[in-house]
Amino acid sequence: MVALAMGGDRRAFTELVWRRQSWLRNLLRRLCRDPSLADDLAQQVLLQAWRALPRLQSVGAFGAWLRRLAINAWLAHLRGGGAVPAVSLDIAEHAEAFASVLPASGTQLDLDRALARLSHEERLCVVLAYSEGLSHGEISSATALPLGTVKSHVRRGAERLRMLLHAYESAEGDQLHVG
Amino acid sequence: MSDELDGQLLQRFAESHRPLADAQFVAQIGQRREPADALGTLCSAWDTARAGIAIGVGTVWRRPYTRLMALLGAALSLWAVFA
Repeated sequence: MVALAMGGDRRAFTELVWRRQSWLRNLLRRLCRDPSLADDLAQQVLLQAWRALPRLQSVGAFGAWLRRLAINAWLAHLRGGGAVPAVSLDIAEHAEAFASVLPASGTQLDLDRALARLSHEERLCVVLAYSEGLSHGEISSATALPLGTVKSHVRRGAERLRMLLHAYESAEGDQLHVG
Repeated sequence: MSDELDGQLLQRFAESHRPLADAQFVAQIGQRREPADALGTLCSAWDTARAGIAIGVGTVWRRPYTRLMALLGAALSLWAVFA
């Protein structure tokens, strides 16, 4: 399919879009925190892929190449000043504060909402490690961040995620007791 | 530090994956691809023309004595102008 699309076969490319769009949009949604922005970036990435596909060196590298395009699109968006500011709260010192920001209505603070509280770089590294299964070295290569920085972001980001999710579960448990 | 990841978080990420099947999204890609294709064709034509000229000039230039002939031609032109 990739080989056909590389040769300019429109139907093959459309089929590739069908197969990959869910994964690509989920990846960008996690990074952006804004579904419409994520979908817009995903479209840009796929159009860029269509134009550059004939220059792809290996059919097997398509997925990783598409991921790289998505990361670059997200980083370019950040550099362009289009980023939504991250919520900056020190979880280690204010763990209780997290429970207080949880919605009282029982709405779930899911993984995406917890991710939204990380910095852009932490979120990028955590998502690439935990959701995409990339090694620290691969993340460093894909994001041009130093390896040590990547390791630190993954470790601290995961730590913050755990605390957030724990705070959510505690708050949910409290609500159940009150109810 | 190794690349070891938290098992519970890994599981949470795996469980939270939402399949997004959206015909509208795919249709929009098709619509946005049309103008991109037109631009791509123009760029491709320009690249082809440039490559053709470069190959043509390069091929002639690599023939025996071409450089010598070019130098002689230049020298003759200069002589004709200043003589």
